[in-house]
Amino acid sequence: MLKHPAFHIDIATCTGCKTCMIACKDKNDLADGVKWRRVSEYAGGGWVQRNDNTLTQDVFAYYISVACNHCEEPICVSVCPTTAMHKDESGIVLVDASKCIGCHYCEWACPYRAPQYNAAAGVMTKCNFCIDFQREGKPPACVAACPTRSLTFGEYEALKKQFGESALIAPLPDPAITKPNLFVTPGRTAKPMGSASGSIRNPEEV
Amino acid sequence: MFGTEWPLVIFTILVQMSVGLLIVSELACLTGGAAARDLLKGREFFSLVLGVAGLLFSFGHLGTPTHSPFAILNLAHSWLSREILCTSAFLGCLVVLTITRHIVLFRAFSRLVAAVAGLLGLATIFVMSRVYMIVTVPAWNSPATLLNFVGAALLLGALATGLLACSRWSGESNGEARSPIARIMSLVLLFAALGLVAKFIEIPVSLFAGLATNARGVSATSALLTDGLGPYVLQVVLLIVGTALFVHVAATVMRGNVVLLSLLGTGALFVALAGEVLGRFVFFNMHVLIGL
Repeated sequence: MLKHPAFHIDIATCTGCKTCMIACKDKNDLADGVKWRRVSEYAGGGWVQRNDNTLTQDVFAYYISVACNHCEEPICVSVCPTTAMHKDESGIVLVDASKCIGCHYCEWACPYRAPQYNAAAGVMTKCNFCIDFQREGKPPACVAACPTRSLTFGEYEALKKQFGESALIAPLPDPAITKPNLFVTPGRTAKPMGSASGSIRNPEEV
Repeated sequence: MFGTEWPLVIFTILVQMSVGLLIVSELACLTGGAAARDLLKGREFFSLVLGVAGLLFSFGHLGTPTHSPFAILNLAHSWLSREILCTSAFLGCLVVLTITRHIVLFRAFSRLVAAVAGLLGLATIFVMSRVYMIVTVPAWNSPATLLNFVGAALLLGALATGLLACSRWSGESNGEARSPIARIMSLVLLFAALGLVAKFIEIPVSLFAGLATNARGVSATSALLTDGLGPYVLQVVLLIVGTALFVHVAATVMRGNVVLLSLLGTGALFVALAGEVLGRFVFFNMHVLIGL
């Protein structure tokens, strides 16, 4: 079991196949509509007029797979009225279903849309970093399933040493808000954080 | 738009109306003397009924209401915990106030209890607005939320006070002794006007706060001006019509006329209430998260 686990996503190699989403749903037997991991397609661009009056295009698209980032300062934990949403000793953010009132407040506040409501159970649910797998020395289901090895996980400090500071790219929110344990390696077409040049094109999926 | 948040729409409006009714009616009694106290007798009980009804409706929002005793465990960080504590303390104080006004032995304390209840009511509205001022929801994270809630409390509280006073005046005194009711109605009109002013300041502030576009290409203001424009305009019209109708009621009272007074007052309150309900649905519809 890692002491301070974090995710890493390599945007340059992610193909947006969504195998990580499916593996997560399958492993956790998630209810219809509940998605602990989601793959957003961020795209934009169009025709651009050049100086010689000819046209070219600057179309771009890339994918970003995001679950709960088990933030250092999780807004879901601070807004939760019951303390059902909490961090364990290794920093993994978990929901205590025996305390949760299903008020949706964490869902309203999380900029990564990590907390997901299970209507049948009447409580919030979320990615638990496959804590059971980790205890058995196995990687999380999403990481294990990634065919391009774009999604990895590891000790926060080790990932920082390997990949450096996380890239600040769109469509991710300002990490200063919650300090996510997520490292992002940008692709060639990645746009800076806050860029209005693109938008999420598959909102119904995420 | 009129989806899952209806229990919170009813909860927030009824609790705000309860606070407004208590504060405006108590101030009216302070300035109006014994005659005003007679006309507004039982005000704390009506305020309590509104608040308790609101609190009961709030349970409709919860997935597991049986866990609700846990909801005050995060007072150190969660505004929602603080809201539940403040609302409960306010309603508890109203229970004490109702008891002190009905038992002669405790009547001496009623003014102090009323003052504490008023302060707790104000704290409840402040904390309630902080619940929605979430850093990741730009349209809510502005002073517009506080203005919206204070405006609702003042407007609905004033109209409820006015309705209570003029229905008693026309029913029991049959239009006699115009001076106390005139004083009450002046105060009611002042608070209703303040409430309406808060609402009108809130409109541009909330529209400006909602301009931030998220990664999905959506902003609260753009969503409002396309899909929600009809309800948005209608809520403003209803608030104005409700207040105007009440001004007519007040003018009728000042002339000493009792004809249809209660009916008109009730109509004014319900029109304004309909405006608030519509406006609160619009408010919840302005929840647009930053980020993903």
